[in-house]
This record gives sequence, structure tokens and C-alpha cells, in this order.
Amino acid sequence: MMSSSPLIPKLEKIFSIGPNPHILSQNSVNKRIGWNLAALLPVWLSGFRVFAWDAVSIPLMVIVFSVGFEWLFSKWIHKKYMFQNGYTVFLAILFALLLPPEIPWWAILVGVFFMTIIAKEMFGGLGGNIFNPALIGLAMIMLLFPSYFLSESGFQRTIQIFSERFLQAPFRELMFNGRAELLGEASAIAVIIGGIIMILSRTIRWETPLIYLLSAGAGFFLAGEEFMFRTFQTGILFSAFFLVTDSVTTPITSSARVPFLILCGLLLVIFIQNGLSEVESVVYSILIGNVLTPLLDAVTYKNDAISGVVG
Amino acid sequence: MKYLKRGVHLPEKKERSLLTTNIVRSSTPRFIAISLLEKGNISAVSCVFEGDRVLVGTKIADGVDFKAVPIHSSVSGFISKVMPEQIQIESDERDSLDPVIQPQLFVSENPDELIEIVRQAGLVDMGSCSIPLHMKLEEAKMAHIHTLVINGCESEPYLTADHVLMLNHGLEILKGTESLRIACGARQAVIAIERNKLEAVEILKTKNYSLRLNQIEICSFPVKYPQGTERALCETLLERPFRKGESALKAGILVLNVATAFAAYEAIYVGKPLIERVVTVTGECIAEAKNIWARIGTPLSYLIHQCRGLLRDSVRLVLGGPMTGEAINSLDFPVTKNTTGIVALPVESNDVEKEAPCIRCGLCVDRCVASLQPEILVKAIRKENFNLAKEYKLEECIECGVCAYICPSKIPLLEMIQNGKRAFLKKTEPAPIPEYHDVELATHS
Repeated sequence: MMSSSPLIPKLEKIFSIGPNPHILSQNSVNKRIGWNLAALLPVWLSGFRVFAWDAVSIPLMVIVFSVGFEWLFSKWIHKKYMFQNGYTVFLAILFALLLPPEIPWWAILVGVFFMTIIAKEMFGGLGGNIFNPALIGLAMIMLLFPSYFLSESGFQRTIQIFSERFLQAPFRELMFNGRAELLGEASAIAVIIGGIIMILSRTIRWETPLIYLLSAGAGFFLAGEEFMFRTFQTGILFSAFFLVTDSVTTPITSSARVPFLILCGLLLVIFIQNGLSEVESVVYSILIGNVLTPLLDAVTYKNDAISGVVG
Repeated sequence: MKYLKRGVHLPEKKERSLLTTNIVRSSTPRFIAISLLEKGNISAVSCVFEGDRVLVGTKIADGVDFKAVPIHSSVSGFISKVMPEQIQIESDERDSLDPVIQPQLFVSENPDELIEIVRQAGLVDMGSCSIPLHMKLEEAKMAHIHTLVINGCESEPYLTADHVLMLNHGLEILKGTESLRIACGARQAVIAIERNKLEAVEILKTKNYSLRLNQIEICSFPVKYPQGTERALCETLLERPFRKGESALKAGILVLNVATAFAAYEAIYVGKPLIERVVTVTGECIAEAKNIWARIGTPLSYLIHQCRGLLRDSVRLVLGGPMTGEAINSLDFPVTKNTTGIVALPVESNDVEKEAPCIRCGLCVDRCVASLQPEILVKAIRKENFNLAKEYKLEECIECGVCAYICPSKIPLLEMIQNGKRAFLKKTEPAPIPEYHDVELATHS
């Protein structure tokens, strides 16, 4: 019927069909995790500056352990895909940066077991976990081997440490050589650089750390503390940029994300004020927030379905 | 003014077919096939026989009822085959015009007459869905609308058909808009154009300065997909989101396409029925991207031949825009009244290697124009939990495809939602309404 052209050969074979949309964005999970890793890099490097080879050996140990655990588990349950999208490596480095340098290898092994097997793989791997796996691993270490963290101190001790180390310490020292009890806490500037990398690559929204820091700052202000210095502790910055921004375990709607962040920030202050160390407060406040995530999502979806246009 | 907050910025890629802004008039195809189907149903019945001689603009099929529009021949020649769903015409390549097509000495300003002219000319809404235009106008008149929106946004990437039409035929579009405004009884008309077409805005404003059609306002909107959908346009103009269950007509707005306004001008001022339209043939895999005046019924292979063919052996050929269009597997399809473009995309543009698990990044929720939660909808549909899907307002999805475009995990969100809608509608087929009327009459009497 139609004049055939030499330019259109084999008409029935050449067309691929599929559902619309026929163009897709350049977004991908691999890219997001890649940017996350890139953002962790300056933090890791700053740790090297303070802790020397501990800052290399511990993260490498954690990576080896978690990859090994995941490999064993995948073999055991005959899982098809392993090490999805580099998430394992990202979690391992995140976890390592939350560890104190003097921690022994067997404590790391236990923490990595809980992180990889219990908190991640048993929930179905990437996307299925309810809790942030790194925080679960850390919480287990803190419960089982509390002597490596500062929690035995109690209220008096905490106040003393803070008044000694931060309130009188010059701001410059805080920013570049903080008190550095954890590998990731060596420099606030490095953490902020990592955060900026993630914000510019649109891996996280800029509102997320801002709301969290504001709520924590407001909490410290209400508690009558020097809220500027207290809020810009490296550990709190680290959690603002790397822990509360974890997309899997935080609410999906913007209207649920705000109460989640405010809750986490206020819980953090309450825990710190009641004598828990900073790491412990960060870990437990965010884990409690993770528990409430599905509830917040379910409660707020009706509010979210109102506005499509804004001025 | 309040603009679209959600939605995405797409790569426009319109420059290929805008290399020259004129609209190419292709030679007459030897054979054309005019479809009598509308949304899969036969909407018109042939009123010619095989072997009849027809001219350009001769009526060859009449609508089955008042809702359907008649269909006209787009070439002059002989009817070669009449089938219930298709009429094939062999062209004599002379393009003799039917005497119906001539400048009208008297242009009607009576709404009913205008609607009848539009119906006789076979006009449909030339946007995405081909609803007969006179039905839309009638409904709008019944609903006492206040604003007629002529949609020149063309927020889909690649397509430029409306853009070049506005550049070349601004005067006609303005006059057609005015006639359509009178026909539907609206107080004002708004021509909505995105800001990547500012020259079109200027041209229309200049022409309107001399025409002095004071009821027509030309607005420019920021570039964002899907600004060109009915809902987004209405919400932007109303400066408020739709209330529950509100439609454009209930809000007092009728949205029509720029191409429709041009076709209405031709029907009302020249008496020319809808026999051709501008089609953008573009995409990375087309040798020469062009905007072509294509006769209704031209086979797509003829159009692609006019553009020097395809550059590759494996392409994805999309009828319409790449976001909402339909992938086709054959070039035998004819151009229909709502074909806005043919886009030949490289297969890599939709290369889904493997669907990753959902990482709950929230992009689909953030970007959804209808304020839905595609992630939860898809979870519900996968578990066939339609009650949950309904609770999350499955039926309000406008199927713009933003969620599937933006998803980093490459989950086919739109496909799942479309499947879910279909399955959901099948499950909740409306039960036949019992005859309460008779019962009531019996009890009252």
C-alpha cells in the first residue's frame, strides 16, 4: 500500500514499545548512594587528620565485616542480588564514623552483625528496613560494651565535660579540631562540607538539617544552655546531615517530615540534659523517631492532599 | 499570580524542530486512510461508496448521533475501500477543493449557529483527547462558564506544533478564540503560553493590539511540566487548588487547545472542515525534524519519509509527546485529529536495566501535581488492596507521568497506577440502577 523507503527497513522489527513516560530522569539509586559516599569522604579524611591510622583501619574493618556478613547471609537464603547499589559500603562507613577509635575488633564484629543481618537483611535489604541499620548496630555496641562510650558519666560528668571542653573552647578549635571522641567528629567543617555536597547534589533537602538543627537549638535555648555552641557540636551536625536525612527510615511526606525532625531534635536535647552522652542521645532519639515514622506518614497524608499550587 | 509549585523541569529538546519556524506543506500522499473510530468505538457511518469521486473537504461520513462529528475527505480522488472502521481514499494528486470551502461573507455571532458550524466542520478538541468540540462548547454553555482558556503551553518536551502555529497564524488564532468565546458564552478568554515561547506571546499581543479584542488576555506562565494539563491551568488561573470533586467546568473554566482555535477560525471564516493539522515529526532518531501540515489520514510512514527517514534501526516511536504519548510498533497508523507529534526516541532514553527497591526518597510525593502519594498507591495496587488505593485517591491521578519520570529506583509508577485504575474500575462496575422512579410513582398515586 505505501511506498517503501530504503531508509525504513524491516518495519515490524525495529520498534520498542513500553509504557509512558518514554523519557526518564538521570536520577538513580546508585547515584544517590554515590553522592552520599562522596559526602562522607571529607569526614573520613578529617578523622585521619586526628586519629591517624585508626581512622583507616576501623572503617576498612567494618566494610570487610559487613560485606562478609551480607555475602554469608545471601548465600544462606539464596538471595539473588547482593550488595545492592553500594548501600552496604555506605552503611559500613557511616557506622564506622560513629565509633570511638579505641574500640576492639570483636565489639565491631558484634555491632556489624546487628547492623547487617538483624537491622538490614532480615527486613529485606535496602528499602525494607524500619530502623537505620547503622544506629541499631551502634545501639547494640553501646548496650553491650558501654565502657567505650561516655555514658557511665552521669549528669554531673556531662555538664563538667561540656563546660570544660566547649563553652570555654574557642570557636575555631571546635570547627577544626573538635573534641573528637568518635571517628566522624574530628572536624565540624568537614561535616558541613559533606552536607553541602549532599544538598548541592540534591540527595537531601536543605530544609531537613535546618529544621533539625533549629529544633535542637530551640531545645537547648529553652533548657537555658549556650545554644549556639551546643547545637553546632560535630556529633549533632553529623546526625543532622547524615542520620536524619536517611530517606528509607524517615517519613515520606513533607508534612510528616517536619514533626519528625522537631521530635528528634527535642528528644536529643532531653536526653543530653538528662545525662546521656551526645552519641547515645543522637542514636536513641533518631531510633524513636524511626519507630514513629509510619504513624506520622499515616496521620499526615490527608493534610498533604490539599495544596497543589502555592504562591 | 500563583504558579505551579509541583511538577518537574524537563529537558525541552524543542530546538531540533524549531530550526525553521515555518510549517512545511508536504506533497499530497497517494493513499490515505481515515479512521472512523473514536476511543475504540465507531463514531461515524460512511455516506459514500467505493469508486465515488470526492474533493478536498467533501463529507464522507456522518456522525452516528448528535454527539459525534462528521468526517471529511482530506484529498481529492476516489474512494478505494469502505470499511466500518476506516475509509481508504486514493488521491488523484490534484487537490481540487470542494465548493464548500470559500471565504464567508457573513461571520455569525450567534452561539448556536457557531456551534452548528463547528459540528459540521468535524472539529474535535485537538489536545490529547479527541472529544467533539461542539459537545464541549454545549456543556460549557450549560455550565455558564466565565473563562475560556486557550492552551498554548505545550509543556511536553520535543513538541513544537502549537508553538509554530502561534508564530505563523497568530491572527487566525485570535479570531478563532473570539468566536469560540462567543460560542461558549464566556466573559473572557485567556491564551496561556509558557515562557519558553515569549516570541509567540509578543506576536499574539501585537496582533491583538490591532484587532482590539479586549476580552482576550495573553498570559505567560513559567516553564514547568505539566503546566499544560487542564487541572494545572485551572488551578493556576483560579489561584487555588480544586476542591474535592471539582472539575474545570464546575469551576467555570473551559480549556481548549491552540490548534482547536485555529481550526475553529478556518471553519467559521473560510468554511474549511478539519482536514489537516500541524504535526511535529522530531526526536533524536529523525533525520530532519520538521513541523508539517499533515492531512488527516496520512500514514505515519509517509510523514517520516518526508523527514528523510529514521537514523537508526531500533527506535522508540511515540505518537504524541514523550511523557503521555503512546509507543507504537508499526508505521501503518494514520494521522488522526489529535496527533500532536511523532517523536522518534533512541531506545536508551527509556533504558530500565533493573527496577531498584523503593528507597522512600519522597520525590514522587513531592512532585505529584494532584497531591497524591504514588508510592503508597503502587504498594496498594501491587497487593490488590483497592480500598486502600481508593482511600489515597487513586481516581484523582491525571496520569501526567511525573512520578515515573523522577523516580530514582525506576519503578514504573505510572504504568502500575494505570493498571490499578483499570482493574479498580472493572471491579467496581456500576450496578444497573434500579427503577426507583416507577416505584415512587406507584406509591404516590
